[in-house]
Order: sequence, then structure tokens, then C-alpha cells
Amino acid sequence: MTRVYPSAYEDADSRPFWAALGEGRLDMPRCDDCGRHLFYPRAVCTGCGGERLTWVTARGRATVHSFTTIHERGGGTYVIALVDLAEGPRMITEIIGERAGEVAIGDEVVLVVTGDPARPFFRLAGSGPGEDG
Amino acid sequence: MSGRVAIAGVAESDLGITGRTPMALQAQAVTRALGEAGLSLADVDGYCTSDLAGEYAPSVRMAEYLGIRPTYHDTTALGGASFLSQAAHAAQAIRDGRAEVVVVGYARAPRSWNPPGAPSAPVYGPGQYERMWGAPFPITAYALAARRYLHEHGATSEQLAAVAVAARQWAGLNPAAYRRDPLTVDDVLNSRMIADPLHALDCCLVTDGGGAIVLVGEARARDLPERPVFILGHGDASTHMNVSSMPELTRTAAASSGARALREAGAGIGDIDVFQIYDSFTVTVLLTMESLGLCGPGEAGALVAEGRTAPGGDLPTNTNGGGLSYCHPGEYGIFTIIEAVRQLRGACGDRQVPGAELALAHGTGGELSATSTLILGRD
Repeated sequence: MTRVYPSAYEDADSRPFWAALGEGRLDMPRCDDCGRHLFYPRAVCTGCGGERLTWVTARGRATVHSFTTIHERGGGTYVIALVDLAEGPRMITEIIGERAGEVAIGDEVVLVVTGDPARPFFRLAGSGPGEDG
Repeated sequence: MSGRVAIAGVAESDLGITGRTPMALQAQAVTRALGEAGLSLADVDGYCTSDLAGEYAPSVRMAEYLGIRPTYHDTTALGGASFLSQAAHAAQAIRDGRAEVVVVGYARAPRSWNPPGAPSAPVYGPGQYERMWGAPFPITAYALAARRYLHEHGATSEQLAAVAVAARQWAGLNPAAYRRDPLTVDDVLNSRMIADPLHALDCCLVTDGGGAIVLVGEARARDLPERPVFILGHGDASTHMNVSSMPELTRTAAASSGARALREAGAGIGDIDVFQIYDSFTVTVLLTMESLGLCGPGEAGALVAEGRTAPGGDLPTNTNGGGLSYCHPGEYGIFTIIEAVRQLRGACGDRQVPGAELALAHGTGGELSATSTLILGRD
């Protein structure tokens, strides 16, 4: 990865998210009242308006809802995708791995927390070193 | 005062690469629109704008620049849809007797003047979860919607390109348009890919430019030189800000704002003679046409490819050449109103839609996030 990623200005809403990534996890708030998972992280439940939220760790499985290959002026490309997490929320991510260019809508993808600072990338399921089916 | 409110003057500023500031361009558009309306700055008691060089209190700043002291202000911010909403608010203020002559103005000069900023500033707030990837926005959001649209409906890149071709055909009939040279589907498909499936020529222009409209009550409009065009219906709606929160990638808030505007006007979509639909990207037009109910889901691409929205078609759309070929300074919505008014006056020369009586102007802001629809008509 030779890409340059912008730095993030952490705040009270996002600090647990970035801290978890630093430990290899994708965390998000879940509503204590209705059980809805919230991404992006915020202080109120978008399902029921509840404010009693607990940070939980995502399983790291998702399905591709849409994607685009970005063509940089220098000739490089990378894949940005909207993925639906197994827990429900949709998020934007970058698809990495040797097969990233083969991604299709409906594909299963797996979380890969990497980089410095760490970010929640995904790769195609079955494309990791010695895992998945 | 009750009754109808009219748009009595419209104008754009110099367009293209002007070497001027956003303030100067907005002032130019305002004075031109007032001049066309037979009014002067001294008559203006209401001022509306969404943006002035990125600073807060834009209507106050622009009023100072113009040397006026408005008693009615509106800075409603729906991105590119702002001005349609502001025009409807102004009409209500005039009906309520809170203002008599209201100007809605806008300009930016991205080719000549940009506010000093820090391009490497950290990403923050709810947008950080999208911007953290360093991908270009808003095009990435529109490309994600476009890819999903092609997937759901079997639509093609050629159909997306047909939107840009139709816009260029109209631009060829508009002397004020920035890009007027002929364009083919192959030209679009062979232009540089930026965010698959969107090529460079699927994207709007980036030009300097400003626009302004002048609103007055019907009685006053009857004493002014231009044929009045009336605001008959309006609707606003938003579904999200960041595209990851968009409920359905292929259905925009136009489904709500359009339906409400038509209901207020007592019209159906089939009654509209001419359409001015925000075209930040080719896909924006297809999604908006379907969300407005002009056709069913997945049908807009074929309809545009058949030439139905192009000159001579039965659904004339973006008759000034649109943001794709006429001008696009950043928040294009003001120009949808200006062109709708000119069509209803019968003042469009070679690109005039014969007998146009009812127009739909539609703005889209953000990442397909917020929309505002106006129905405009003449006697």
C-alpha cells in the first residue's frame, strides 16, 4: 500500500472506534434498549432514540453492497466499497488483497485491520492466508 | 398580502474562467437580475444565499458588499438544492407581508478564486468514516450509486453517457454554455476513468459562475417589464448526508420533494413541459428522473438513450446544457430556476421548448443527500 490516508481528528464520539482499531478490532456502539448496532458511532440510537449505548466488537464479516474502482492520476487504482456488516450497519471501506480487483456486488468480505494508524479494511472471503472457504 | 408570487428577473454572471471573486460574480448576477426586473438594489428588502467564500453569515456579508440592509434573510443550506428552497421560503415571506422584493443569489469561482485552506487537515465528525480512505468526494459516492444502479437494472455505461450527450446537444443551442463542441457516447466512454463507472465526461464542469433571481408579489410583478413566472409548488427532502447512510442507493429524496411540489401545484408529472434537473454527474439525472416518477425504476437510461430528453424529444431536460455543459460553480441549483423561468417566458431562442407552460426545477445537494423541487408556471 503506497496510498496516503488522511489523519483523523479524534473526538468523544470516535475515540473508542480508533482505540479499538489500534488493538485490531472494529468496535461500534449497540443500543442497550433495542439492540441496534450503530455505525458510524454516535451518541443516540437511530432506531429508538435511546442514549444507553455499549461499545461492542464486530464479527468482521460483511457483504458488498456496491463498489467503485478509483483511478488515480498517476495510474494506480484502488477499490472503495459500501459493505453491509453482519451486525446490520453499512459502512464505507477499502477492499484490499490480491483479488480486490475481482470484487462484485454480493461478495462476502472479511475484516482486515491494518495500517498506521490502523483502519478497518476488508478483503474477499477466502482470499486470506490459509483461512475461510 | 396573499396570492401568488412571481419571479420577475433572472440572470447569470459571467461564466467560465473569469478571473473574478465570488463576491463580484454574485453582485454582477444580482444587479443584472434586478435590471431585467426593472428594479434596483434600493428596492431589495430580502436577501438569500447559501454560501459566500465559505464564511458564515453569507447573506449578511453579501448584503454589505451590495450596500443593502435587508430585513428578511435566509441561508438555508441544502448544498446545490439550497436556492430552490430559499425561493419557496421567499415566496412565503412575500405572501406573509414580511418582504416585498427578495433576491436569491449565488456565486463561486473555483477556476479563479478559492479560499485559502489546509488540504492536509485531519478528517473529523461523521464524515471521517468516509473521508478516512482518502478517496475523492463527492464522486466516490455517486460512483457507488451508479455501480449499484447498473447492477440492479442492467443499465449500461452507454446509457449514462447518453445523459452527457443530450446535455451537450442542448448546450450547442445555448450561446452562454461553456462547452458547446459536439460530443458522442464514445467520447464519454473514452474519457479518463475516474471512479468506475464514472468517466471524466460523466462529471459536471468546474467553472466560475453566479446566478440570481428576483421575487415579488403578483400585483407588483404586473407592473414590471418581464412576463411573470409563478412559483406554484415546492418540496424539500433529505434522506442522509453521507452516502453510507443513504437508505436506497438508487432512490433519492426527489421521490418525496417532487411528489410534494407537484401536489401543491395541483399537477402531475405528466403535465410538466420542461425539466431542469440537477446534473452533478450523469447518474444524478437518471436516478432523479426515476425518483420523480418520470418513468419506472431502471427505465431512465433507455429513455435518455432514445433521445427523449434531448432537443426535439418529448421530455426536454436541462435545456441550457446543464451542469455537464453549461456551467457548474459548485452549487448549481440556482441555474435550474433561471433556465426554467426563461423557458416559461419563451425567451430561449434556438433551444426554446415550444409552448412551455409548466416547468419543474430540481436541485440535489451533498451525496444525493438533499433535494428541493419547484414547480413553476405562467399564465
